[in-house]
Amino acid sequence: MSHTLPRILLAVFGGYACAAVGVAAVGAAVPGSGEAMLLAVLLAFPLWVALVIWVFAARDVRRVAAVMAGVCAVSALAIFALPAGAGAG
Amino acid sequence: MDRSSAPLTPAPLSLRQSMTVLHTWAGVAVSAILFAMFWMGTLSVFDREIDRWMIPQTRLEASDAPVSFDGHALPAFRAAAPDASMWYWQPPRERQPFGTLGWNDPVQGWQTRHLDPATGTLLPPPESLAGTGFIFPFHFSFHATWMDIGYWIAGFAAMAMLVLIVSGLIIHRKLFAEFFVFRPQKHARRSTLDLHNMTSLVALPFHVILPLSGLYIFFGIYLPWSAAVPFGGDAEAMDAAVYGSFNRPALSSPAPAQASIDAMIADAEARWSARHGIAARADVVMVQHPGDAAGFVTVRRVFPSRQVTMDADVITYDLASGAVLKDWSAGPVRRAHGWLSGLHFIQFDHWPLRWLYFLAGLSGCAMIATGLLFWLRAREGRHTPGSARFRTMEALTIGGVTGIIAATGAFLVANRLLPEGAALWGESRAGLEVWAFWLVWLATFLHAAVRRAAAWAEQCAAIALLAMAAVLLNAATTGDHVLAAATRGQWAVAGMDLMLLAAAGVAGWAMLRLRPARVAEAPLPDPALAPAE
Repeated sequence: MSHTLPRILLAVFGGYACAAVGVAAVGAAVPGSGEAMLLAVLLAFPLWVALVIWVFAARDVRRVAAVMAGVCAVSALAIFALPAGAGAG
Repeated sequence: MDRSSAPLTPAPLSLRQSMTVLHTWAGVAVSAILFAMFWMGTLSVFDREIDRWMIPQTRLEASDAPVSFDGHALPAFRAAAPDASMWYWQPPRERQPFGTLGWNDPVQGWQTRHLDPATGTLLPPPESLAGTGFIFPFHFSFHATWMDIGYWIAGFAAMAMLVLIVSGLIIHRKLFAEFFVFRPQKHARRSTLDLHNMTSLVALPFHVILPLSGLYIFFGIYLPWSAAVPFGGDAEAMDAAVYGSFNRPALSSPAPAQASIDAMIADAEARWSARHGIAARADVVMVQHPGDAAGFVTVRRVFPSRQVTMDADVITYDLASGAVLKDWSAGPVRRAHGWLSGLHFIQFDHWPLRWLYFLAGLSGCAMIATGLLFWLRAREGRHTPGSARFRTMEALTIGGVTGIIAATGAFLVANRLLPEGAALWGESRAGLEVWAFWLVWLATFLHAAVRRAAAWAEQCAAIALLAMAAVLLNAATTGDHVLAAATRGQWAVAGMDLMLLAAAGVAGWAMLRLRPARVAEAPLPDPALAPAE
């Protein structure tokens, strides 16, 4: 349990954060486009599943957490650097 | 992992071992919820047929009489809902031989009535949420609407289902061989695992596509901020781009005139037919701000009868002039989204596929139930039989599997037992049916906690009795016994009765198989089959 709980939390919340900021970053890059945003949505959920599998398959969960945090940070920076993202925030 | 046997420095797990951990945790966490979703989703495949059974006044003969919005629906709306801010209309179709009127009542909230196309008159109020009003929304929201919590629970369970499928595929290396292995003569735990593997694989594409498409359908709830980013955070602008919606505020001044809504429907159908090269038909009409100068009419093609892709064409007209305000057609990605959504909703006319969905849904129920059973049986020998942890899981499993089926039976029986106009403590007849469902479901958990393993057989007996009672009560209260309904061409009603009889038979058989005396005779399980924790 002690080894499993951090993985569960990272898979659920880290995976969601990556999916959500990923979709938002695509949306910010193509403002006004429902098509681009929807395409990102169609990819986001399978990506989240893949992240969950990775979180549990990885030997060092801290490395996965670092990669996920990096992806989220870069995406968040992109969102707020782009005009559409800044407006949404 | 069992702490007492864990080495000081645990060895790294192999991929299969780590996937077993994931499969076990995800399965235990959401299986009861997933079973409820699969059970209600499976029933929702025939939600309109359940409506026919539960709302007897809608057991109409199919009519070829043309139904006009201006001639039939409009007078009914003006009489029943003159002050409503929105009128909603669905014309009759194959599985729904009546028109449906809905409106937002300023005092009573959402109201629904049905229109007999042969006479043009409104049928009495339905007094039941039935299949489309209770069973179908339960499938994706559990009727927990506060902060959309039910949708979030369903979304979490759908994600877990996808993870369970992927991790299950990794765990089972001999996938193809296992598909053909079922050893009912082996001890209970081995045959449970065989059945779990078989039901998982037999409808594998269904088990992947349904949760995934469910997540896509409600992406606006699960990713609200992300979806609105391209539109500067404006959710209404997102709806306009993705769903073709249109909005403008009421002016609070009466409309100078009203154009023919039948003409708008004909115009929309002609445009779509020309655009797509098929005979397109409008199936939803919404009138916003009726009677107001800013009123507008939205005509949609939500469920095309011979197409999987849904809700890809919307035209909005000015109510006063009939001029087109917006003509929206989905782009390629939105069409892909509509196709995946259409796969999930299965509202296209294809009866063999509908039955396949039903069977695949049942296989999903069996997959989840056997997964839970296997997990329980693997721990029977390891945990103290009376421990609170084990007893809680046992009660959750029994109530979550046989309990919800018994509660559905109680819902149907209550529908036939409650008199018209029944009310109690401020609850309408429809509300009382729903209370019957929830109370019986709660009772099954308590019963399982008290009776433990014996509860399996006892709840199966309850299911059999409730299903038979529903059939008898339907015949007694409506006269539509199976033969009478079939003779009148009421296949929805006859089919429901036949399925209830089949359910009674299966539940009776399961009761005999699961009765405690028989289970006690079964050989002891093989501890080597227990999955890693």
